[in-house]
Amino acid sequence: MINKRSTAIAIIFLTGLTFSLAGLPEKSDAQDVVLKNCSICHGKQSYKRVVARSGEVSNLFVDEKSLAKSVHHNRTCDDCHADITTVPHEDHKPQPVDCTRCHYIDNPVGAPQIEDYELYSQSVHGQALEEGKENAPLCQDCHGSHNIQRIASPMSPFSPANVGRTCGKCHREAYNGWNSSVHGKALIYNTGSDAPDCISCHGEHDIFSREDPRSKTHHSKVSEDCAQCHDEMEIATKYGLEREQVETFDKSFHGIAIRFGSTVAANCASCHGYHDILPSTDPASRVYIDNIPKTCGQADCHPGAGKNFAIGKIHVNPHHKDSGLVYYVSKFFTVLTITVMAGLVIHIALDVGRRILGVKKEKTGGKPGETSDAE
Amino acid sequence: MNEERVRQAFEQGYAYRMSMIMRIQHVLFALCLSVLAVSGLALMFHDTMFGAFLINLEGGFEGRGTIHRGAAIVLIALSIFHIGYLLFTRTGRQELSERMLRAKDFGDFLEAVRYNAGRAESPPLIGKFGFGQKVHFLLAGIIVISMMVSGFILWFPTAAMSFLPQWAMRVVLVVHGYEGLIAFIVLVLWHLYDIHLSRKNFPMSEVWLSGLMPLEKVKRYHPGEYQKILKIVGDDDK
Repeated sequence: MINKRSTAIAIIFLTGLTFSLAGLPEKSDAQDVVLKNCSICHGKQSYKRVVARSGEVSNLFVDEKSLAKSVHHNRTCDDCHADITTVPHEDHKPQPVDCTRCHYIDNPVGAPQIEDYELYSQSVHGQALEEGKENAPLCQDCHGSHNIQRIASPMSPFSPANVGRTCGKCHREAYNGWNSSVHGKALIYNTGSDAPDCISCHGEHDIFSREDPRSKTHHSKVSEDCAQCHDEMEIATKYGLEREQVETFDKSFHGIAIRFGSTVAANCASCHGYHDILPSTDPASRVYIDNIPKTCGQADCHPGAGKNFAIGKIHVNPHHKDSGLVYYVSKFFTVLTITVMAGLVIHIALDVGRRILGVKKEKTGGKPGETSDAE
Repeated sequence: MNEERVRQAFEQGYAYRMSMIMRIQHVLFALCLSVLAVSGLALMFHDTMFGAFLINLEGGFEGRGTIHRGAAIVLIALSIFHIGYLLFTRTGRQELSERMLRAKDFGDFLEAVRYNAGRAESPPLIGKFGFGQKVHFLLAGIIVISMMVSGFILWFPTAAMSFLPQWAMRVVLVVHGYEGLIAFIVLVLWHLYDIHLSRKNFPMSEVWLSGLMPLEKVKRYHPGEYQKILKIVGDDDK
């Protein structure tokens, strides 16, 4: 729907390009004229409108300075608010701005665009829009409107410090969980710039429901999300993370189950939580030693789990010395297996050898490989 | 031993070695162990291409588990039947007595080694089962029982952890896996080789199908058993 519309808009846009955008990127006289016209009303700080039925007050003031500081400082109001053709526009309520007027792949005005944005229409957000849900987010709901900043700017709604709040505008509960988590705190208090924000795990334009196999948070993909950092030498060293957690999970019963398509086996989030992840040393953490029976005993997992679940390290590598008994048992069995195998192979080799020797003996009149093994 | 059968077989030049009920048990046992090995080792070697292939072939993770546990149930039923057979039937008790490891077997074993080394005049009088076979049977029993115990612990982790600490589960998993692997290796390299592939029976011993062993072989490898048969048929000429 958006793509069709954007193509149509593009055609209109191209025909009008020569006069409407002539002289860009330098600030043109035309821009000044438009800005001045709009600012007659929208430049007043007190400019408000009361919605007739609900009595809601909407603030209609637009700070010229915020536009001037934005990436769109060269644009005029009607570049985006294209449905406003007369000033004043008393009876015409402006429609939401359609960013795809300019931001599409290979657009002629050089508006930046990445291919990923096309996934928006398939994402949960795009689908919500298609279903006609009123609160479905459009580009401007996340990227901002008049004060749009470059993604890399610290002022951007997607800067590490801001992204949580940006998503949290709608996803309040998730935000509240995350901002008190080990990850959220690291970003908010600037103690770990590598900590994951919403995007790190959920993606950007390509956010799907976690039921969707394409989703980055699908049951089968969660450990990959965590592995982005927890299996990265550099990050793990920097923050003193135990890097073996990912490997030991992958080799555990749960990890193998997920790898081979189980949708019920535990992934990282099943035990550690997701938004509200806390270090295991924190008594509020799900994996704090006293909380482990409750975490393992979730209704879908091991209901009735007792305190014995907490006795012993969970992420165990049997081939590591610090794993204790399981290491020695595993070593013992490795040696035993090799010994048994070697012994039996030698036994076969001897038997085959004896046969060859026996055949020779027979020719020279000896006993024909006669042995008395009863096996 | 069913004397009528022994006599019949003897007249045709064979020793009656495995009754029908034993042969059926043997086939079922072999089937169960094969299924358990294939589905179990698939999990143990999940990170190899072959392991992954097997898991997918067995219907993914859950399918593999169901097959493994299904075969285990059949094996348990079979084991209970087998124990009942050995203890509560006449032929079963005879069979059990043949399989019992006795002091004589250790002596026979040493004697056989001496004979094979050319230091003894005649081979020891080995009965229906030699030292190796008796050890084999004993090991099989121990392994099956311990695999059942560890298998049930892994099957019901919550119940198991009502008396075991979590770390013990890790040990049990390692033990179950390696024990299965060793059992598999022993079955293939010892039992399959010695009974079926080795020079005396190559390519296969027929005993597990017909229940009969040529007298020639009995005379040579189980002389004790041969004498017993002669006693039964009362024919001292052969």
